[in-house]
Amino acid sequence: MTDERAVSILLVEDNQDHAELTLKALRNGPMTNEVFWVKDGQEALDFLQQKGRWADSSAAPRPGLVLLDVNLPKVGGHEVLRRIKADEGLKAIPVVMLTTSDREEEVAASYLAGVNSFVTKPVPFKDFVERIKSVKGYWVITNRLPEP
Amino acid sequence: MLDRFAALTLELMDADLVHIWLLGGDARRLTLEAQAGVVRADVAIEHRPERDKGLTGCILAAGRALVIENLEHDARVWNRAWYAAQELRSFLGAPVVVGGTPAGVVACMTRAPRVWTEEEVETAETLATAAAIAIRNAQLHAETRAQLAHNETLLEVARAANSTLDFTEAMRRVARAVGRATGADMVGAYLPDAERAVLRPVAGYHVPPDLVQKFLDFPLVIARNSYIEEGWRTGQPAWALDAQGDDRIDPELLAWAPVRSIVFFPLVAKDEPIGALFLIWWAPRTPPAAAELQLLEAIARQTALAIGNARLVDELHRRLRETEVLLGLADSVSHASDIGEIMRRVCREAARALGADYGVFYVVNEETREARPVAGYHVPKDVLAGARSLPEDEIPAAMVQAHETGQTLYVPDITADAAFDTPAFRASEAGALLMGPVASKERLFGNVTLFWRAPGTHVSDGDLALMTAISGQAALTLENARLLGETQSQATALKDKNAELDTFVYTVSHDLKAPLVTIQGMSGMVLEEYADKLDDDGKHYLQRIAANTQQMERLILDLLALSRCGREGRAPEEVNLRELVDEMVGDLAPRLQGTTVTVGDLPVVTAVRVQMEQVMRNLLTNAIKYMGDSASPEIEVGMTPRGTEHEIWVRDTGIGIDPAYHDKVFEIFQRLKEVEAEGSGVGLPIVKKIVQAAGGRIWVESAPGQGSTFRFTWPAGPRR
Repeated sequence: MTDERAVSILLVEDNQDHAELTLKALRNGPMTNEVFWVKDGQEALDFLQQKGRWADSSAAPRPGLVLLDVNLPKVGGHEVLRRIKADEGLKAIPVVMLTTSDREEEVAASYLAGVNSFVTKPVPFKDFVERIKSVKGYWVITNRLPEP
Repeated sequence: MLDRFAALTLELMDADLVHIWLLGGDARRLTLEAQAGVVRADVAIEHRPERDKGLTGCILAAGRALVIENLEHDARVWNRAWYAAQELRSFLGAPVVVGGTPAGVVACMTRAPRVWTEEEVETAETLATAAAIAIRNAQLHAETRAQLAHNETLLEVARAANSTLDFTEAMRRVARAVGRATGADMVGAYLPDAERAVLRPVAGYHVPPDLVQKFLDFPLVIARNSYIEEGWRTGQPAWALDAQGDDRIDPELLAWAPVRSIVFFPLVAKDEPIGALFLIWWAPRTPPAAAELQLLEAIARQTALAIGNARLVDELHRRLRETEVLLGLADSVSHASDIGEIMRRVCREAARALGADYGVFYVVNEETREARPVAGYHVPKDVLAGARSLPEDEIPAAMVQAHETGQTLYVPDITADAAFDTPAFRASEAGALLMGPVASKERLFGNVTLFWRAPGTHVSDGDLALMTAISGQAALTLENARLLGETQSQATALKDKNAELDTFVYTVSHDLKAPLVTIQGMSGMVLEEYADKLDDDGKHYLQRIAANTQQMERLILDLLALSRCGREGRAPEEVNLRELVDEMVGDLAPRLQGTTVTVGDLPVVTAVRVQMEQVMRNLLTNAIKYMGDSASPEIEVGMTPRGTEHEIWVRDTGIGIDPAYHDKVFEIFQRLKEVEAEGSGVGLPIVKKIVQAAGGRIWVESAPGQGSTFRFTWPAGPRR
């Protein structure tokens, strides 16, 4: 049985404020998971594939969950998702899309590309914190993750 | 064919269901001819409704399109149960007008409430027009086929009845028989031209070899020979026993050959001369005996009969060929995918039918009158390589005139005609040309021109008629193609515009929401983590920030919903407009300092609340935004009852709007340039969309410096 507490999370978010809020919400509560934050799609891929400035595998451990924003500079969220799900070594990692958009087409496209969950960021702060907590609660605590 | 039309209409109009109804032969009942879209088959529709019933009845009676945004409460709906069972909410119908008479209806229906724009109504009307043309074409096609079958039968009968059907051969045989019977030295057989002014030689008997060419080139001008004229008029043979010195005879005729005695011998069928024989003796002769006259008369009767048959057969042949060619052309062009291909096939069919060496389709520019070759059939390589547009001054006058009058033009020898002695026509490698102008009532498309390498008489009167028919058919087909193309490109442009707007709205809503999450989050964190360091004022301010960001999110969501307005409905409710406006004026109080606001009596209306809020908020904030530096700013909101609807107005004493912009202010992303005001440029268009969706109208009364009054109407009582 894996120790859930050791599961690390990769947050991919270009909006610094949103990242701060999300980190705050993730660290809220009893669990203290290690959270890594990268600001664009290319860096997310580098982190996952342990390339570039993340070549040192101890600095970039394989995460148990990826929280992925849709609108990202360089490589967009949908493309990052597509590449993760096309990579035999990475496709087992659950990916949760986190976005302010609730466009039907976007939701459908994400699921077709193999996303594990699609979450809309609510505007009211309390709702926002609750939703991030419930995402973490489900994916890290309730849900059984594959061995890294 | 109508099924295809229904499917096309369904796609272009983005409807859920399309019906094409046509009046039956008795013009009293409609028949559902075609249907596209998803329909619940377990609920039967009346398939033969009477023509004055329901919505189709309204459209047929008015002869124009009918738009119904909500079918539920519309009194004109007749088969309400069917619409309800099909869950149809909105309706757009346009009349199919064939030959000036309404002959049916194209109906587009949707299950979601739908605002039909003016462009969409126009598109539906254009589609109905195209359907009418297609129906008319189908009728013509069927009639032509029936005519063909009829002609074929007649031809079979004529073939069996007479073995000598070759026209020229019949005349030659007659000339020979008459020559032998009378002992004439030479006999010529003649037929009248179309104007019946000139008799042209068609066959001869014992024509001296040195005179053959002269004989063929020498027509008899009826008016110049009084004795020929007499015979032609009376139908009796006319004699000139010694032509030399007879003043009834054209001196030119005497110069043609050393004729002495002549008999002009008209051939009469059904009391009308249809041809003539010309008997010639090189020596003077005695007057004819009674027996000789009797024989001549018998021959004349027999000949007239033969000629009559031959003429009938010739006419049948001509019409048969015309019908076949036109049918071939119609089949050929109906499979063409674009206008260029239609033109190419017209050239091919015309050149094949008339035996031309090659054919070219020229498009004539309506303004410059320049003729540009755009399609061809069997065009020689060198001619093709040198092909270019001909400016009007390089086009011979006869061709320009043919364009103007729509007449088919034949030039048997362009090498002998100075007007065609231009570089372009010298390069055409042609000796003769036949041009058919391709023009509909509205426009001149250009012409089909056929070329023969050698000069000469390549075409008969029948060929000219055929060419006229071909170019007429081509014009009709091109006009159809043009109409259809226009309709499709309009519909595509409309779709693109809508898609662009949808994308824009989604992008904007996403970009606007992102900072709201931050504002909410950060103020929420301050409230949570620094609560003990904040006094009540500080907490109040942060709560106001939170409340306003939430309000802004709601606005963004409304904008999104409104962009889908018409595709996705919310439930209407009773809205007390007076309460709504009062509340709104309270919210806007900070921006209304110094402004006198008067709210008069306002009705309770049936509306989607957020939409009505949007309408009033837009009109009020516009009044504030465009107040300018009025000394005593005033805003007044009121209503005028107008029978079945309320007219609600918002009046201000602001800067006013030039009448030139009164329509523009309701167009999306159009803002008045004079004022640098905040706003997305979507406000008034949304207001218009909402008002129109409810069946109302909106307009502005204003002039610069005179303030503005925005007025809109809203249905009184429960929503239709």
